[in-house]
Amino acid sequence: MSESYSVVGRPLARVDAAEKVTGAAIYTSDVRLPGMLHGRVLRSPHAHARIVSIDASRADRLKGVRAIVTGADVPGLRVSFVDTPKYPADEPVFAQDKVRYIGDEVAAVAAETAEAAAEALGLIRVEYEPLPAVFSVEAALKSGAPLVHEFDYPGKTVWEDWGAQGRAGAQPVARRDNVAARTFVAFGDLEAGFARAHHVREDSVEVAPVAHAPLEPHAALAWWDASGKLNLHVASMGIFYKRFVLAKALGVPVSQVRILKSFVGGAFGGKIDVFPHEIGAALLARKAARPVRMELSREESLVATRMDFHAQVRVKTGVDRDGRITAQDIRLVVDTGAYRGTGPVVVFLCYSYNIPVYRVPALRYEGLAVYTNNPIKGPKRGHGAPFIRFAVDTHMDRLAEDLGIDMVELMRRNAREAGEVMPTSGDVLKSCGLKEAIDAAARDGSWSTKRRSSDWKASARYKRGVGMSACSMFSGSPYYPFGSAAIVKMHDDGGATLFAGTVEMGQGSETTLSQVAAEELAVPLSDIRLVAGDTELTPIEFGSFLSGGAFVTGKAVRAAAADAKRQLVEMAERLLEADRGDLEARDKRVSVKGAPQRGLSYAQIIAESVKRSGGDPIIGKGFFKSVADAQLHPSLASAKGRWTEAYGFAAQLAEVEVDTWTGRVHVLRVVTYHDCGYPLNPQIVEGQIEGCVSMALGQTLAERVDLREGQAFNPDLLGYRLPLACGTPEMVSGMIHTHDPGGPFGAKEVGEGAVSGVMAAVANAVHDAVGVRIASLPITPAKVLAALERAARGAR
Amino acid sequence: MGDAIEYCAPEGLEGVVRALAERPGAGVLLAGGTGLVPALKRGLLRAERLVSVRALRSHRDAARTPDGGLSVGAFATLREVASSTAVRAVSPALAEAAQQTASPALRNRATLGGNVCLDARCWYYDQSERWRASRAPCLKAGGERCYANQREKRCVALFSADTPAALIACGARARLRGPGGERTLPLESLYSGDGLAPLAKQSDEIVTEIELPASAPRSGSAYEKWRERDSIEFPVVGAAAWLRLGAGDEVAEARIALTGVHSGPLRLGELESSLASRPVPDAGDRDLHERVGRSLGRLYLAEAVPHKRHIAGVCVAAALSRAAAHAVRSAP
Amino acid sequence: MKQLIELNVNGQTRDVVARATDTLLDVLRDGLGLTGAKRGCDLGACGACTVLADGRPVNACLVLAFEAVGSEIVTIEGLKGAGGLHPVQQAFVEAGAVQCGFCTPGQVLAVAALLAECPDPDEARIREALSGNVCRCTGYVKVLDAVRNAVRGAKGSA
Repeated sequence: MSESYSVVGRPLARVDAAEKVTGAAIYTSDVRLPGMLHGRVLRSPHAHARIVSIDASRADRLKGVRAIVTGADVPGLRVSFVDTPKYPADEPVFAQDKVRYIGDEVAAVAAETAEAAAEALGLIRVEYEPLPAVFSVEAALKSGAPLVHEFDYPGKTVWEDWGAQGRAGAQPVARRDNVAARTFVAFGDLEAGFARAHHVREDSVEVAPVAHAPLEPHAALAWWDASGKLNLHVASMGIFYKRFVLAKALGVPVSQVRILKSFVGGAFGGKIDVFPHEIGAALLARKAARPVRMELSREESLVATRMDFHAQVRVKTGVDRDGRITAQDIRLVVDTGAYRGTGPVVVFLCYSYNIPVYRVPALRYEGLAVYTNNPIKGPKRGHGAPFIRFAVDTHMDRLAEDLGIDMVELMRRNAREAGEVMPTSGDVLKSCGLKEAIDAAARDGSWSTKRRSSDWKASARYKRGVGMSACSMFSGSPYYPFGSAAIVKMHDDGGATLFAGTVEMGQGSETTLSQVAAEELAVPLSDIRLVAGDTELTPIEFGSFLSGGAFVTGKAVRAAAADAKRQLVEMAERLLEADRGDLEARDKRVSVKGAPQRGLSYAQIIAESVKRSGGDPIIGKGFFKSVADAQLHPSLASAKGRWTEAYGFAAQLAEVEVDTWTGRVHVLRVVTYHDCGYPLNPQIVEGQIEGCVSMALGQTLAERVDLREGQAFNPDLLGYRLPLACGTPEMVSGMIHTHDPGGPFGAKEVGEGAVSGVMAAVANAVHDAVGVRIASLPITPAKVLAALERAARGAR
Repeated sequence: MGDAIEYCAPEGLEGVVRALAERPGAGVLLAGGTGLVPALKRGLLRAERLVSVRALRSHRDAARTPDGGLSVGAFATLREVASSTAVRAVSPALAEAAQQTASPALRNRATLGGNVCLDARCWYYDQSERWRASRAPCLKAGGERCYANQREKRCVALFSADTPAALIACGARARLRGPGGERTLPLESLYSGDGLAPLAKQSDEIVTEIELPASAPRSGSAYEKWRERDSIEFPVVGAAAWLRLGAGDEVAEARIALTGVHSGPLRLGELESSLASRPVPDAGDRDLHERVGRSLGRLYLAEAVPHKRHIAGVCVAAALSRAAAHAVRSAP
Repeated sequence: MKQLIELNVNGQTRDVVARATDTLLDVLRDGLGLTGAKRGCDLGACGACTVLADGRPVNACLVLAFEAVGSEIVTIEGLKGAGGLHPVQQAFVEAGAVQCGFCTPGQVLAVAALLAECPDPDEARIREALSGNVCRCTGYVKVLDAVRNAVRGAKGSA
């Protein structure tokens, strides 16, 4: 496979870097419009309560207040990222009969000043009748537990709008329990598998909820223009998905909603949902007939939008004498919070992200998402892969120890290879660099020497160790709008403008897509201008929330550039009286192969096309559907059905030093080898890996939303401990080029996949260093010290 | 936060004192603002008038005094205190405490006086109005109960400023100015130990100078801070140690002060006495770690109480060890 | 109390109306349209609002507007190099230290201030200077690369 590209594969400077370093880049809350009002949301102070009455009259009379909305304005309006016939939307935009978590939206106001809006909130009188609440999965699953939701409300769900088969009946269905979703998979003969195992063990882990905490809090600015169209700037991850749901919620046609481009200050999964404050901004703007901006505070953004799941995982595995898995039984339970959020998806993903890593001939998997009166959970970078891989690879490390087999060897013996077919989906691993990644990470991390050498390992106080883990990630999956399209418009000087709906939220999509277009069109990167992130100006785009940005949109962009190039070559064919097969496009020219002087510049070709051939200025169009042969979507409940075209893989090694006096774990080095297929921009890929590792280390060692009875006790950035520059370890960000046959230039996902191998790598390294295993995240100094003390007492 | 709040920036200290006295109980001193502004934003401070020291030229420097001691103006920034050669010469503990407070940008504004007068903190209190609306106001917010303390009706908010521990260990005195004149007192006496109102001074009294005595020969000091991350945060525990070595390098005298454990800085008097006439303990002395942990009494507002006790011991031992190293290096 | 105040921002005298409780961040963004300083947490714990006051980084969200009178304030919009980007900005671009960009103005100013005061900082000093600027995207690796490159570049051309 040739890797001699001119533009892709090069670490070129990002196309948006200059505007960002100069402060010129515009984010949602930087936009000011004449007459703009300030919006604020009134939220429930109770975790579970009936709303007896809402009286907004005093707020209405306050000077400066221009509009107020409550649940009464939008009766029966519910939204959810998961809105299917089986799991219909369950989150009222503004509370109807009751509130279900501290932070639940009850009303919204728009006023001339931020102060007036805040004062107005205080004047809205809500009478609550507190109800008994449940704050843990255990409490929620007890028989007789209070129901977080008494009813499901099937209606016309978005998936039915998108073509799914509906269910009969539109009446509310009484619920019997707090189980929000369940995925169940079973294949192979589990009993026989365990029976023939040489060794069986079972382990459990727990993962605390963590926050996305991008630097930009959530924000939305909405206004209705004179033509009746809704316009928005909004911090988002998928503008076409958001447009669809907003249009549906507001009762307007999709083409009457426009999301304009804003840069997004980080998202990591936390900005994909359509949030009540966004719909609220639109409703208020309509009522007040003025633009309304909602800027959430950091606290609201942290605790009242989405956060990552609280997960408990139990894994039982049987292995033969060589450590090969014969059977596996996994039970996973997540606290999904007061509304379903992405609970139904994460319990599906904890199976789907796990099954591509190790070969398992017989499996039983059950994933349960449970309602509680805690804040709502949603997708966070890896979306389930972090907890399932933490569970499985700490378990594998223990199996390795039980068997006396080296962990890396155990991983290699069970690692999948290219060509394997996934059991329930039928997805084929068309490329798989897992083994190469494991070998490379072990090599660069000096696994063999550092596992064994006692010189390196210890002083009296500080002990060192290394640990390994691996993980897998998909590259896009069927979800509205189910594909991406792109347009490449030629300019008469031979440069081009690429129209692509991608949202630039830090992952570098504007740059990588521009590189793809430039490479295919055979022009320098500087000759590609980009119009991005605007639903009016760009064709449909898959969104940056299913790791499909490079894969799906990249292919659409490549196709559009190829289409433009084809038209240029065809025109050149006529003008040069040459055969297409003898022509090549390179450096903004089409010329005869081997005789470059016999050629025409793009500018010349376009001029001829316009003036002599009827006026065609040459516009290229391309599109790509994610998972071309998929049914509408795989089954979340059974994991059956084609899911993705390509899987990325990563193997990660962590090197730690444990301070035995304090329990503090210093991470010295993290080595990642990521099979991303082919790095469209190696500098950007490295940046994504480094960001993933940093985020993963935060979750592994320090981050935790401290929820007590449904309230976060650390809802600001002083108490919620994000990693800082001073704690940055050395990072090696390696890539394995497996050249996926389906990806644009062989590229697969990057952006999520390097999170989920870090947790177990660190936990296993801690064990290697000091001989204790911490089975719950975060691995705090207190837990390590307590474990060391228990071990010392046990030894005595 | 209210359109009605006044602001003034008088040019002299007398003007500042007068402006505060004119609004008894409702005037607040504004120095760096890093403590005051968050409190205003959270609705924890009802102020009618902000009296700024912006225009004051005095009380901003750290300088040696004729007797070899140190006088630091209350309005010197923590960055200035941390980088001052005068401070470092007399009290390494103070330089270290200032250097490790908060973050660089916060240290460029926060003042020594502000840090010394920092309010006690609690995770039920230092929250937004919206957050606190989930329960009735706590004692510190004017209500009837303390949520952090289930046993008695007493505010247990934690005193968490870094510099006071170092200052107390080094024998600091504070000079205060009020409408009635000036007074000087041992810094330790400035702290009431009451989480509700940690400062034992009138609301119209201002701390103007912090004074440290000249370093005794063969004495040294150090400050050891433990926090989860290496910047921004308040200490989980901060331990300051000062000691003077005897002829045989044994501890002749020691002072140990902790922050982050009680509603005021905590002197470990018994431990100090037990160290006298003994060799300087090793930083890894487990007995010492345990003794410190046991001497703390009941701990509130700790994420992991046994760990915090242990860490307090590790920090005290480390501070003593480094203070001794400094003492050995100092002039005889 | 609302008052017209005069601030010195990016070398220019600017008039703004502010109340006693308005912060410098409020006034820069809403009063003067200088939106490069960002509101990341509003409590001084993230550094996204970093501006320079008399050459030193401060969290604008905790500086009351009235307190900024008499100081020379420099925001990211006021940082320039000879003919284009400041060397620190250029270093960030070349090292791949910019992802979502929300923390970038604050980081760039913190680094520019560091190098103006200390042209050859060691690794510990560099990390300390950035320790109050939170970044969720980069993991800081390329940010630290950018600073080291800027130091080396300045030494090379000295």
